[in-house]
Amino acid sequence: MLFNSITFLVFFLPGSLLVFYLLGYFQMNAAKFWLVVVSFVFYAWWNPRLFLLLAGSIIFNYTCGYLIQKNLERPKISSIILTLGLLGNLGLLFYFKYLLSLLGWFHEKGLFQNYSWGSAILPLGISFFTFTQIGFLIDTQGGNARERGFLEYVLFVTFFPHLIAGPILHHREIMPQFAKKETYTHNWNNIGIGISIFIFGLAKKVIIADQLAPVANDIFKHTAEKHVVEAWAGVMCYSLQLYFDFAGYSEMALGLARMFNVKFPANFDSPLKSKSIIDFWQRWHITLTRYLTLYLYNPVALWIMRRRMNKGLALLKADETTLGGFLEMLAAPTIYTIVLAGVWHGAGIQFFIYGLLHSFYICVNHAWRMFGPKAPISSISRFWSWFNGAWKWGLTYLSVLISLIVFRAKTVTDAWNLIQCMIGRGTGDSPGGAQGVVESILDYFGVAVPYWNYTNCLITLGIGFIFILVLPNVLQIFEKEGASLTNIRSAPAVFSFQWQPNILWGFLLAVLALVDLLMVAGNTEFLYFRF
Amino acid sequence: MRSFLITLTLMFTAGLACVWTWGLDHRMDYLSRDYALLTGKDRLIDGYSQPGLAIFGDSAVMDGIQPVKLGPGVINCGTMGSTPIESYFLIKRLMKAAVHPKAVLLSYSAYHLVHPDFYWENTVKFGLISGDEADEVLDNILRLKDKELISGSGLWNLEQRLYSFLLSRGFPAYYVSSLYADAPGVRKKENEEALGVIAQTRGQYYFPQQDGSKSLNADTKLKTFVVSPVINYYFRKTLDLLKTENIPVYFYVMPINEASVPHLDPGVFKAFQDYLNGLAQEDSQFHILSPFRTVYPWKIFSDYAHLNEKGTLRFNREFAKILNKAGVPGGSYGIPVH
Repeated sequence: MLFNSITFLVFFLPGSLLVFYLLGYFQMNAAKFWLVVVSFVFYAWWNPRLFLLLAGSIIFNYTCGYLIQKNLERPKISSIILTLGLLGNLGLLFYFKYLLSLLGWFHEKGLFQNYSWGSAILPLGISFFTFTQIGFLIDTQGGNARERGFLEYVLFVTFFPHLIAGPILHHREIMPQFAKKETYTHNWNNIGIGISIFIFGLAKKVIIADQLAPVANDIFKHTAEKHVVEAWAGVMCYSLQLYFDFAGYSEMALGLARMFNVKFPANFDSPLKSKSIIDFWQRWHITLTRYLTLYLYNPVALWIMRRRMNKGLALLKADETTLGGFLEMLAAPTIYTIVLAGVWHGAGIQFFIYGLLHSFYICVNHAWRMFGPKAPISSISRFWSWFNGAWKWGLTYLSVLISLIVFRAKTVTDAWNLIQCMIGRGTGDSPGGAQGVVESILDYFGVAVPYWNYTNCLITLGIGFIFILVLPNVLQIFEKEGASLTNIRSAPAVFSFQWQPNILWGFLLAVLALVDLLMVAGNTEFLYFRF
Repeated sequence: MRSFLITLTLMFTAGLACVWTWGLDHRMDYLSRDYALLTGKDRLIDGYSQPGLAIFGDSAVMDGIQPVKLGPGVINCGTMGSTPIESYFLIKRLMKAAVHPKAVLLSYSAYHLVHPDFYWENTVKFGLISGDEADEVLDNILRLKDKELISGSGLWNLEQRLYSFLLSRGFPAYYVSSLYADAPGVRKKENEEALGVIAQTRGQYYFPQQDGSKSLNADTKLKTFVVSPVINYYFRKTLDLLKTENIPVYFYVMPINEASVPHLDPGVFKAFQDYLNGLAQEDSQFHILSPFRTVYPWKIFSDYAHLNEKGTLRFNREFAKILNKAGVPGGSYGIPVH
């Protein structure tokens, strides 16, 4: 089911919320059970067979977790169970996300011509619920997770606001919330805050992201035939579409959870305002970055440290500033982690390149931070300070933009074609007729703007950038109410304001909610559903 | 918090009610021309007073058949992408008029019998059929499990039911893009002009004119001819309804562009013909007019399926002869009445 569908908004959400609080009034476990039931209905809405997959995965992981916990004092046995658990989860992911694509690729290359591999539809949210459970197993083995009962575990994995596209939860931050009695008692404050955050998230999705989608889709459909301005505008549209789509979804999840008295970690903190790639990764898909750091980067970094220690090499922070230390202690774990993060998105070579590009960016960023010139802050004038911020922002956004071309394009050739168009080497012509006339007038004055039918897109692009660069993000708007479990990193916005539970905000959000509802008819899927 | 939540709820509900009511009352101001054309056909049926030949079919009919050239009792109720579903409900309404037609002529392209792709986006959205009628069709779609017309399922078909219910009741979310598709006032003017044309021509409406087109007819896309179960159901229901009223029914296949002929699948063409012959064998009041499909030069087409002005003139002269030759009740077609 989609958060932006009328079925969800009109029936599912009010119904599940109402029954949840009614049951919670009498019996906490009944309310938990109800949440599990509605979460399964939510998940299996389009394809009831998916119920079996999700249920199977939960039973498998719960059993592994239980056995690990029972055998914590016998590390060998618990390690074997953990390994089996990880293999099971990764096998499931590999089968649905990579195996058939790889076999298809072999088939294209002329191998295994006599075999028919069939097809498998990627089950919704498989990466998210598998990651959540892998984290649980590793933490159980490390003694950081405590088993709290099957119903609580199922609720932790299936709770519908995060089930399909995250945020990726850590049991330590969620399980205690499900254990509290207050979670099952209605709280008008949380309902009001939750509804408000949800309205903001839905607006990002349906008013901005969905309006940019046709332009972005068109740009990536015919990548070689674009005018330079058209190519730039199209790629920028995609960058904003992806951000508003995913950030919108994550905020809706945040709002929904809050309506049920649960606080989630945030996934976005104005990432497109970032002035460095390191900063970008700490503000974009925050829960994935956190997950990767915890379960991929840290273990590898630790392993490298141990290796260096065994070799008698230094481990201090200062040693990272030597070339060898930098490459081994920083670059290697970064490349390994970020390339895997790229490949997590799918089996295409473009995701590998996406990961490679970002790991390169991050390494360069770290190198600049360590080896680059360090200007004394006090000596910089206000203008130079602004300029310094502006070029850093521009460079960061440009780097992200280029990586997103690779990320979105169907093939590497398509991505290359589009990059060629962006540097004016495409084959795109301007349209004829009245549009052509306007373009030739602009051309005469030296403004080579193709006058194509994207006026709405340009307006939406403008609105999008105002949202990104000038207005506060949802975490800032709801700072007093603590919108999420995440600490805000971004600096105060140019125009700052705070949400207030008063009549004016009630009126403004009613108008925004109405506009949201009027725009939901498209029922467009969220981009991250495919991952 | 209480005042916030009360304001939010009240303002949202009141706003939605206002938008919904306004939207239903002002459809002519913002919906596309298709809405005006459908409304025009509806009015034609409501004001039906001179018995003759009532013609139902798709856009090729709407564009190509000129009632004023054929005779005084002829009306053209063809609509965009029309199928027997639309015809059934329009004929049912026509049966409530002061007089009944002497004969009914049906004409659909093979493509629309297989893929009724205008049903949700035109027929239901623009209110050609009422909410209750849409509910009835949906029951049949779900009963017959017609994949061509199921746009979304979800558990217990709730998604599909809700979509049909809201779309047929004018839920504003489905119309909002029409509000800003053109500058204010543009659509109202165009729609009123279209309504005027429909009233004047008794239902004929030209598509944008071009001096010839080699675009391929939609029928060329068909590789097999399998009638949608719901279309088949309403086709038979239409014939049953007219049989009960003792009104003879004729079927005619509109001319095809010569450029499309080499691309037509002969198997599809034969299956289409067999399907219609099968219906004619079951119902003695259902006749297929010949020739089964005339081929016209591409120069008299405006696009893939619609005749231009020259084509329409030629076609109506020939069509009158076909009607007269078949003895279709309703008068002598094409002969000016003074």
